[in-house]
Amino acid sequence: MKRFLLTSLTLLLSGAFLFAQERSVSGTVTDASTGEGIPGVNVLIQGTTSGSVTDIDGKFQLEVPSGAVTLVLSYVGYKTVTVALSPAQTTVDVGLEADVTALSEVVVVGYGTQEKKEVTSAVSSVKAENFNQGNVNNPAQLIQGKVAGLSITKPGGNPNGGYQIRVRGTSSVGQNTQPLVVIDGIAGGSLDNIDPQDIASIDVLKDGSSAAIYGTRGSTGVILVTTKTGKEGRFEVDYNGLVTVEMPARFVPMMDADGFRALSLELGISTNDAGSTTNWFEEITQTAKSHVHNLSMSGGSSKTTYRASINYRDAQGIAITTGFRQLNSSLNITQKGLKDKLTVTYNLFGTFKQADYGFDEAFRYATVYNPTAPVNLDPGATDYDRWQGYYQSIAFDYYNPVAILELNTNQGKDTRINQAIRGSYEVLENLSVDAFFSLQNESFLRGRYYDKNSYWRGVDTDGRGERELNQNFNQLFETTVRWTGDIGAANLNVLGGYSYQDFINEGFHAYGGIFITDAFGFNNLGAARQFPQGLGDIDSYKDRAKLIAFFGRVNLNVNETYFLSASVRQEGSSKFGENNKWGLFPAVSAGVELANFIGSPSIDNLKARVSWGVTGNLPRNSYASLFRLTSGSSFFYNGAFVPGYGPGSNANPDLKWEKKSEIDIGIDYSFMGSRIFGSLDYYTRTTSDLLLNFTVPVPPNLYNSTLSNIGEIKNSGIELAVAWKAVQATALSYTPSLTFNYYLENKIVSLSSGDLEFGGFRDISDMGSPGQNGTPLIRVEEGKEMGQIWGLVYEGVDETGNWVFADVNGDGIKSGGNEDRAVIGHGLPDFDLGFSNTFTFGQNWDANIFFRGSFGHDLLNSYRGFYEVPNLVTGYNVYETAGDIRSPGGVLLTTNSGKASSLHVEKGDFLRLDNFNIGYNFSLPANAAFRKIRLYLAGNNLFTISGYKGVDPEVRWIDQEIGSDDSYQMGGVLSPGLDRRNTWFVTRSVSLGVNLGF
Amino acid sequence: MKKQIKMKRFLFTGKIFIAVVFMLAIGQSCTNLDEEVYSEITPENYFQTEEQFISALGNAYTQLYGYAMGDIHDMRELSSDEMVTPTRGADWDDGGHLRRLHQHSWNNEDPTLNGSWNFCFGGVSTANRLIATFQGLIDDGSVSQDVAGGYIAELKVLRAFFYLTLLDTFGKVPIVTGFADAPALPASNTKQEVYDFIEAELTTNASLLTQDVGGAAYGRANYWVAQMILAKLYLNAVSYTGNVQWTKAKTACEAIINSGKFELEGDYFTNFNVNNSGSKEFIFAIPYDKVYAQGFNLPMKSLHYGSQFTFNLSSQPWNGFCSMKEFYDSYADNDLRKGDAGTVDGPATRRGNFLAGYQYTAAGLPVLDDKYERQDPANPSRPYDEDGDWVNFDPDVATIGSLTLRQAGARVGKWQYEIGGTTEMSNDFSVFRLADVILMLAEANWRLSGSSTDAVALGLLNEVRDRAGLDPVSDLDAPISFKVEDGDVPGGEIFNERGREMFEEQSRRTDLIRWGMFTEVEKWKLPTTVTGDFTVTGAHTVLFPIPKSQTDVNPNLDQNDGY
Repeated sequence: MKRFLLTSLTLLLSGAFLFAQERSVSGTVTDASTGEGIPGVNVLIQGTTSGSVTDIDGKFQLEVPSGAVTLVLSYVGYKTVTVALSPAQTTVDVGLEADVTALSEVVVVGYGTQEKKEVTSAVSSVKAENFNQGNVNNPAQLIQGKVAGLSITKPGGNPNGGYQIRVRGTSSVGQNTQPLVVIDGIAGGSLDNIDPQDIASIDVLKDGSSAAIYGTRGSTGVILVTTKTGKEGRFEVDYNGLVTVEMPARFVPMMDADGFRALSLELGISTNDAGSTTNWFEEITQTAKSHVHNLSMSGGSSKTTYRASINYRDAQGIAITTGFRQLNSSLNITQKGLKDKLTVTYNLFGTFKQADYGFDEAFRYATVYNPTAPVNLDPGATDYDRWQGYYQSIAFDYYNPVAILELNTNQGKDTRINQAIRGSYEVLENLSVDAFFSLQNESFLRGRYYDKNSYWRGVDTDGRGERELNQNFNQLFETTVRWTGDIGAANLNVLGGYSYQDFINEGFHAYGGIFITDAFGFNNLGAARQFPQGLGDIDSYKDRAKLIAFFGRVNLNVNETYFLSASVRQEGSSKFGENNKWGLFPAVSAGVELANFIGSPSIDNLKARVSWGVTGNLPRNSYASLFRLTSGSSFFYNGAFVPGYGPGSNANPDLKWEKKSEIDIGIDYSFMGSRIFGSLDYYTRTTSDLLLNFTVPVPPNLYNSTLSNIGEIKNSGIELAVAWKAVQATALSYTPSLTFNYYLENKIVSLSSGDLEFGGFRDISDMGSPGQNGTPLIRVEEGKEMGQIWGLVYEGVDETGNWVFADVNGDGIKSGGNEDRAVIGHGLPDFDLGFSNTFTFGQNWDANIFFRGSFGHDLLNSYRGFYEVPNLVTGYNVYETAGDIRSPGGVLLTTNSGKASSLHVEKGDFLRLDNFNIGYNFSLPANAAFRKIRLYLAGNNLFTISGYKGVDPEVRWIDQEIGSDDSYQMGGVLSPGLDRRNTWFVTRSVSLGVNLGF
Repeated sequence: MKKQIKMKRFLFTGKIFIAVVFMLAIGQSCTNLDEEVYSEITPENYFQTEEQFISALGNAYTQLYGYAMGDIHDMRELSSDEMVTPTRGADWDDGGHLRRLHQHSWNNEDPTLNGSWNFCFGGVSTANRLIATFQGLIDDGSVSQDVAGGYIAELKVLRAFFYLTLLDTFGKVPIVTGFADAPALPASNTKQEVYDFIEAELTTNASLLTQDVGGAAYGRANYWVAQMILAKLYLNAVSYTGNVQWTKAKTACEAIINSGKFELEGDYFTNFNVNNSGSKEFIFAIPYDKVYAQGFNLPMKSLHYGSQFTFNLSSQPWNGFCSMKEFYDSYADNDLRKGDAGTVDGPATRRGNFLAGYQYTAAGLPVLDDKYERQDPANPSRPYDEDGDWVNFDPDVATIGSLTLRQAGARVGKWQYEIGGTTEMSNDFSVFRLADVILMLAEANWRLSGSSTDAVALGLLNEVRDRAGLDPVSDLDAPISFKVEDGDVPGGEIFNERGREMFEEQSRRTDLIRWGMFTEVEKWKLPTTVTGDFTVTGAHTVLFPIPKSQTDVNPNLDQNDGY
């Protein structure tokens, strides 16, 4: 204790003494290659929080304590340099070397990081400075088009809609098709719980080898999100603000009121003219205004760093009455202790979102609603009170879309909280042990109310209220041991670990009708008089699953020339059958740096690599391997109804993971002093033991479908990423970069297994009502490509006004029946590309123009398939081109029903100016109150080049009408290429943003 | 000293650290992947109380809820002359399969066929499963042979009912009686084998069943249900196997009638009211309920969209199934079963098997249809709805293609629609009732005597006619609605009476086959101009083809002749 006091006193005194003995140091920081001064370089006195920033000429000045000190100079894009100053030194000039190769950057891989030069599998990394900007409300948008092999789509502009994310196309047709998301080590995280502004980098594990360390969840790829953290040194405060104006980019080309009347006139049908002129699209849409605010502060000492941020988003949707408000906050604290041997990191993310979802159906009804109908009735009109003043045509499946949106409510409150703590202890110099615990809680509260006077829903039950709560709880414990060291010429990196994860889902749902008043909304379900009548519905559920794994990995680096990595994960899930609880997921990859052999100065890096890995996929739901009894209809026994319980699933004790084996051959390259760099990959992969709900015979089975491991699919493709620093001058720099994925093969090899015969092919995905129930649109066929759009081959209209379809089977009869159907399109794209153009103009201006496109896919335009039929003008609005459906002699089609055929399959090729932004960085004096001021203007989806006539030419990876619910035998994943009704229109937006740094 | 503190601190931290790491790593839960079930039932937590026992048995009966309005209904009704589902505008095209049922040009991919197959075999396998379960409980001593044996006999009779339905529609089907040991890909049996199996099962097990009716026996496969299945099997034996069994049919019918357990209700419609479960006429009823026992969604299938406001239904009907003019006209106007039609002066006053004419809302206002077919001056031949937007069910259905008027066709009015009802009906559906047996017995007597003036047959027939308010007939031969020009058909009065009495009770197709008229489809078929509707008809159509979905997965199934 005595000693402690003495030490403290000495420190205090010396502190005072040192303060009195400061000296001033000045200098210039230049680019080592060009000799030009670099503004904005951070100059920090090592071990303290004091420092300075270089001015526009690269000059700095700061007070330093007397004696020898060390300065740390850092700036984005340059290698950080430390400079030791002798006790008397007062000037120092430093040349910073550009952090030339993109290959020297650090890449996040599963359970750790690696320098890019050592990576031997297909991993892509996108840093914050390359993220898409502007109207970005979800982290997925940040990297849309930025990673070769990663497809991120959201057809239509629903602000509350989800993204379909595919790594290298569809690798699974069964249960889970979205990649695993890992946020700062929290496996199974949700991108919705991270504000885009808080993300430092996103890394994508694309091949089997890199993802194999995630075992049963690696098959669909892994997205690793690293959030921003505090830095030792400065206290920084950043504010980002953004205002956005968003509007529909295109509508479906339907008849306007005049066209509608003209067509009716031509048909000679005394029209269904309600006397008004209404553009229903304009009635249900609005110019959506949004604003986003992000405030963060960060800083730290050598022992403690922290970052806290708060994000607020208030966004309107382009559909009236829709939008959301979201408050998100995050906290990251890192504390070192025990002589810096122990590092403890605490992370907290919390998101609260209130959303008004509206109803997607409004888009469909707006498309087909009579354009001569008024939105509102005149007061006093018959039925004015009945429909609360809205016009309603009493017809089947035909509702005023404005009334749908305005009379009814569909709201949600989402609460998400993630907490994580990591302790990392350096036991020996080369040996460290980590323990990690995270807890994720998600809660989704929904409320819907259908008005008593809403003809669409509500009038039938005299009001209807609905409430739903779903909660997901997920805790993860992981511990890892790492050892790094050299054995001879080889540098070795060894990892071993154990992981335990527990998932609990529970929820409650109730709905009831017959309300005495609409005043309660969904807030007083007890007032629904249907409940005492035995109607209405209540249900609740709870389920639980566990994942347990042991894993290990060895990375070897021999002379910075030969690289080898091998990993294995032994993982078990409670969802598997009792005979197959544990799976083994190995991976091996190797690379060689050929530049070291070639010795050409123009080749910086040329690393050839090859990898192989096995990954898995889990059943979506728990208990799929158990024989369960579910309640069916009740049974009338002795005057009363007794609930009947019967089989709801078959036992499948052999149920196991879906297995994907993937080989990747790639090259990472960098030429001419990193003027040109990128990578090229070829992959081929086979997914077997697909998890499919398969129809099985009863008996011997108890239930008519079983979740089974069946069949095999195969994909291969080529990915290219290339960036070229075309112009690199102070006045102008220009870097174009391209990502390109070419899908070579996407084949359903087999969907049979043993006794379970698929029967060669099946036709799925029904066109639907009106009139086209039992019209399958997709053929799933063994040995053929996935996504065959299948149907009649349109030949024209005959002179009697009937459809004519080709005689495909050659029986001489143009019957238009099932036997004359053929493949009429391909739902999956041939290739996707992202083309980014980055500019800087002088010191202050920067710009980015980013194009994104997909090519080679077809889309079945459902709106045309139903409503490009002239006669429908009696009942619906029709497609603008309905009047073109004529015989060669000019006779209009006379049938009353649409008939989906090759006529309605269109090419979906598109190229979109997805993101455009231009920014101005103010030059600030070294001692200004602001560290940074940037203003920018961004545009999203400014234009799309496409011949497609429907809502959005975007790839449809999934049939939204089937969805991916596994209660269906065949998920919607097998049915790509269907542009269904109910899709929101595409939007275009312009944003003005400001970034302020203090 | 300092070193010591440091050491201690290190040891302490290290201990905690190691403890945390190994607590979970070594603890028993670390590799335990057993599933914990919370909101579902597995066999471990079932079959523990008698109520659960009954609830399991109920599973065999809930299979029947697909009978009244499911695929089996569509397949048997739409292929007869009493019902049709025309395509109306854009609605009800659905790939043409419903049109094809009417035109007898179905193919083995039509979904109704596979749905019917699955309906029947779902019933068979549920019965098999429960028989195996109950036998297992007897074998391990959990329950006595006396108790469970009765349940097993009951399940076997119920299974025979599903097999009768299969024999009637698909003919050659596999007989599967085992469960755990059932063959994965069972082979087809001949029609004779199926026939023999049904007969043997019923004769063996009927005596084990209760002869009570009502109470716990209501809606269950009791002794009389077994007799009725036998009666149906024998009456149609000529269709099923080519051998006549009129005497056996007569005996089975007499056993039911002479038991005195059943009597004709004074009012025909007592059998079809919302609260009809007490009907003394029911031999086997399916007790539907809008909440607990759903499946009888007749209002949805038959009524016009606007009829929602006639009955204040909770949902908008689909405007599909209707009857045809010739069949509608086979009822005399004074037939109490026909009912009358709504007129411009007011709604129908007399209830009947049909809803026809002008329709009114519950408030007495016209039911309107904004999308009615308007006149087309350019195409005078094109059908249009002359009376405008007021919904008027005209029994005359002119065509089956998409030019069918939205309001064409008399709708089913036989079952009482509950005011304020839902999509589902609470009326019980009689699978077997006494009036049917009376007419069957009349027919058996006539078939045996071959005399058009058979007194017993006439007496029985007139019993049913009398309730319908019709005068007695004295000769059994009569013209038939769709072939009047052919003159008297032998037994035509019985045939006609069966049609009028049993409308929508899935009897017509079997009657047409027995009278050899099912293949005369050309006489009642409606024209269609829709390409893609095949014209494959023929003698083989008395059976449906084995569905492709089944033959695809089971190569041991024989396709029926002609397909």
